[in-house]
Formats: sequence, C-alpha cells, structure tokens
Amino acid sequence: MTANRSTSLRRLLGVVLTALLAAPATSYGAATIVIQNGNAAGVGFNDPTPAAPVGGNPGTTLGQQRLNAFQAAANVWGAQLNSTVTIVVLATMEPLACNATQAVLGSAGPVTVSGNFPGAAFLNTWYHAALANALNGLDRTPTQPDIRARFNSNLGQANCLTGTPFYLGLDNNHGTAVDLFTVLLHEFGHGLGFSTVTDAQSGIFLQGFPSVYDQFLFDTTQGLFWTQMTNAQRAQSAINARRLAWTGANVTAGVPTALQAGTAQLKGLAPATVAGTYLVGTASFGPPLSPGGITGELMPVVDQANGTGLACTPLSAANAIAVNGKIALVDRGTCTFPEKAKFVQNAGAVGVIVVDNVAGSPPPGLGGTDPTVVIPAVRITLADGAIFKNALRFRSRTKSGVMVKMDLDMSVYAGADALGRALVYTPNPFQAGSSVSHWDTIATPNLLMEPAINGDLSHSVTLPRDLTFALLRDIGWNP
Amino acid sequence: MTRNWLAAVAGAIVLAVVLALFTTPHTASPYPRPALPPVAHANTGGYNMSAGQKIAIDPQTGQARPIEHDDVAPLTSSARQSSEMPQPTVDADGGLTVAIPDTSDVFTVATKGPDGKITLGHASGVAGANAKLREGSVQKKEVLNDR
Repeated sequence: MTANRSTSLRRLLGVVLTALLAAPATSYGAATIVIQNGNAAGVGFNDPTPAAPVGGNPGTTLGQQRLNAFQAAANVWGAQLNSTVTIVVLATMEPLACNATQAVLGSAGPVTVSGNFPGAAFLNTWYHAALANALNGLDRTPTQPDIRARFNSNLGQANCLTGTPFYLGLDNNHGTAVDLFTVLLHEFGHGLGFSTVTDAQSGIFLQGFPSVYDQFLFDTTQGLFWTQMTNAQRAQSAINARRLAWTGANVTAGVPTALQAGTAQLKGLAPATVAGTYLVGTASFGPPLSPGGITGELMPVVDQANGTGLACTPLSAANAIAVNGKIALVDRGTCTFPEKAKFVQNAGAVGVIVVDNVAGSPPPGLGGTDPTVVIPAVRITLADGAIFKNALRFRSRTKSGVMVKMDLDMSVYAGADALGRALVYTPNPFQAGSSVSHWDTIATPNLLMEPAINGDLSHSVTLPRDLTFALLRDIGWNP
Repeated sequence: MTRNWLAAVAGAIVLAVVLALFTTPHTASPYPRPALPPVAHANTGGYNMSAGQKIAIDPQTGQARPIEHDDVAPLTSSARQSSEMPQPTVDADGGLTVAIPDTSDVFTVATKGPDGKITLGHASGVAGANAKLREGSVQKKEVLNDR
C-alpha cells in the first residue's frame, strides 16, 4: 500500500515535471521569435556555399550561418520579452545598394501598427505589431509577419564594401568586420517598438495618432510632451539638440547604472551676454575634461583676412601674446584639430575651443590623435561661436573680459539630462532614419540603440549594460 | 419634366447610398471604440466616415450630397502627406491597424574610411539609404570630421 502510494506519487511527480518541461515557454521573459526565411532556393539564407563554423555559429553553409545569426539575435530578444504570441520576422538577404567603400547593410521595421485594441494602455496610440499582439494576447494580423528585415547578401564582395563582409560568428569577435549579430539586435529593437511612426520631420502623427514611443518624449525647452504639441512644435522638438528626454520609469531608473556620470560642457561666465551653458563636442586627443575643469579668459586667434583664425601655422607674435595663458578660440577648417591645438599650445594657451564652420547641433567631437597635445579641446557650434565672437569684439590685444569654464558636470550622466532622463537623438539639421528613434550619441558607454551602432558594443540589451530593454518595458513590454 | 424626373432619380440614388453608408452594421465591441483619427482635408465640407468612404455635407442645408470636382481642392503639404499615409483598417474588435510601408523602415548604412575603419549610420527607406550612399556621408560617433 505504502509502496503503491510512493510509486503513484513518483508517477504523479514525473507527469507534473514532464508537463512543466513540455509546456510552451509562456512565462516571464519567454517569447518565441521565428525567422521566416523569405529567400528563394539557392540564395540568401539558402546559399549553399560551404562555410567553416565560426565564432560559435555551427552552420556549414553561408545560408545556414546567416540564418543562425538571425535566429541567435532573435533569441536574445525572445529571452527577455514576454508574449504568448509568436513573433514572426520575415527576413531576406538580398543584394542592396553598395559601392567599394559604402553599403546599405540592411533594414527592419514593423509590418503593421495597431491601436485601440484590448490591452492597450494608451488610447488612440499606435503600437508596433509584436507589442500589440503581446498586450492583446492574440495575433491581430495572423496572415502577416510582425517585423520585416532585409540585409545585404553582397556585403564584402567586389564593389560592395570590398573585403568587409558580415561577421557571422555569435561571439562578438568581429575584429574590423561588421558584426551582423549586433546590427540585428539593433534593427530588431526598432521592429519591436524602439521607434516612432510619426513623421518627426514634419511633426505629423500617422493618421492623427501618436506612437506609444511618442508618449514618453518630453521636450525640456518647450516643457511639453510630444503628445501635447502641435505638428510645428514637434518638428521643432525633433531638432532641439539634447533637449528631448525619455521619461519612462524603467529607463530613468536604469540611467545611473548604464551611463557614466559626467557631461562635458562649456560655461560662459562673463560678460552677461555669454552667460550660460553650451553644448560641446569632446576631443579624442589631449586630456579629457575634468570635474574641476579649467577656467580662463577667452581670446581669439585671428590669422585670416576675414577675421577668422584657423591656427594651422605657428601663431604670429600678436596672436601668441593674445592667447598666452588664455583659452584660445579658433575656427574649424584647413588643418586637423590636433594641429590647431598644438599650435595654440605652443603659444602658451591653456585650452582651445574650436568653432564649427558649418551650422548644426549638437557639435560633433574633435577627431585625431597627437599624444603631445596636453591642453583640453572642445568644439562648439557655429551659432554659439558667433555669441562668443560678438562679445570678443570689445577686447584689447591682451584682454577680452570674456570668461569661460570647460569642465565635466558630474551631476549629469553622459547621455541624460540634469534630471537623469535619457536623451533622445535630435540633431539639427534633421537626420532621416536617425533622428528621434535613437539615443543621443553623447551616451557613454555606447548604447545599442545609438544611431552609429558602435563597434565596442556587447551583445547585451539589458541593464546594467544597456537601456534598450528598459525602453521596451516603458512602452508596454512585460507589464 | 424629363429633367426633373432624372434629378429625382439621381437624388434617390444618392440618398440610398448615403443611408447605406450610415446603416452598415459594425461588429459589436466590448471595448471603448473612439472615432477614427482625424484626417486632413482640403475641403471643409468633407466628412471622413472611415478609410475610403467620403461624402460631403452641404453647408447650406446640412444634408449629405455627392462629391463634386470642386471638393477636391489643391492639396496642402500636410494634406498631401496625409493622403499618402497608409490608411487604417477597422478590426473586428474595434481596434485599428495600419500597414507600414517599407519606405518607413530604418536602414543601416556602412562606410569604410581611409583608415579602413567602418562606421555605421542610418537612413529612412530605400531612397534615403541610396541617397546616403550618393552623399558619401555617414555620421560617426562624436568624431564626424578630423579637420
């Protein structure tokens, strides 16, 4: 009797365990993402060209390895997202535009968006198909895939970014090649909801509704959410550099973990006409800005007939006297940034500010290398440069009275605003495909969903390394 | 006499069409079902019932009337954009769905610099990506130019 009961219990336990193991993975963080092979026989994912397994990708043909990479990237997302509805990605690898030094790598996006369905947190708001299905608990467009993705099958071949193919390994050991896995993680992120379907350049909502993404965009200049703005206000907000913040709670909570403290800045101290904080691009050479920074009087280099100063040759005696012990203001152009820095450094300047020679904001960084440069350097916009130059009109040969400070504001995370909210990429002029639907490029360390997809990214989409999954949670994933 | 008779028949047909449009049964939905989002129209008398169904209201009588050529005024920029937008369909449960064309997809473009380094950037749609190739410009991370 006891033996029978024990046997029965074991059988029952076995049945329960079997059932648990066999049950579809519908618990938290278990969505199934299927890559639907859209290629014809013999090409793309069906390319029979033999290939040696690489970086954890066991495929033995080119097509197999491509498909494995797609599925592996999809699995990273599938392990985080919670959905009872299978997410279908219609994928193809096909010839896309390219030349010897440039190539379209690929694209992705939602096939449909839905609104006003059961489970939607926001009324009159568009949700990407995969998220709409997850919230609704059913496939709202069962005859269609949820995400569309196509990538370049010719990459690396002659006249198509020659010699630089996709790295098909799964271990991020891509060297100088293009890591397909990372690009896929990024593109799938867009397809899962990390993008707006609003025409950000005109500010016009798709059929009068905002995207759920738009619900979390707050312009710190206008003091308005995107959903509170007119079309014109949204269009202006989309080019309001480093003033559009993401207000979702999950991302904001993750900012101190994912981003490092300290944002480079230039402060105008005096006179009153220059007072304020200015955006800067930092230099890849010379010492980085420090929390204490340097404070000094600003003096321009003038070595051109039109009154500008390129500092591409050793400074004249007059210019050397002017910038000695001061922070030098020079104009972009003609020679490299390290060369400019070196020439003003040799004249005794303690720092250098390069004024951009084309309009646009935020100011890009200063590229180049020169280990002998020991003074800090930053770039400011053409418009901000005009403000300082206007104040400098009243200088003497050795004094200007224009006081500035170049430092690192440790109270502001690199890639967030003063309130700790992550910044969305809003360059001026507008960059179609990049603006609004990415994080700002100032984010440090680099994030997956920045527009540049930097080579130093890990394959993580979650905290502490990355903010992408946190944003997806903000818009409704894994409620 | 004949002209009056024809006008009466035409009026009856228009009325029948309008009534049919207004009385088309909808699937009952237990969920709040807002009106379709507003669509920009060049003609202030236009009334959008749902995607693809449009009638006009006579401002004098307040009655529905057929669309006439005069109703199709030149499109403004925003109206043109709106008309080019994909149109929503009403789902059985009252929800709305819009097909997103691949012209809205985010494209990734790679550029190899003189030093062999690859930088990646983005463009919107095939046309945007191809234009980016023609321009030969892809932004780098904080290092757009070295001079």
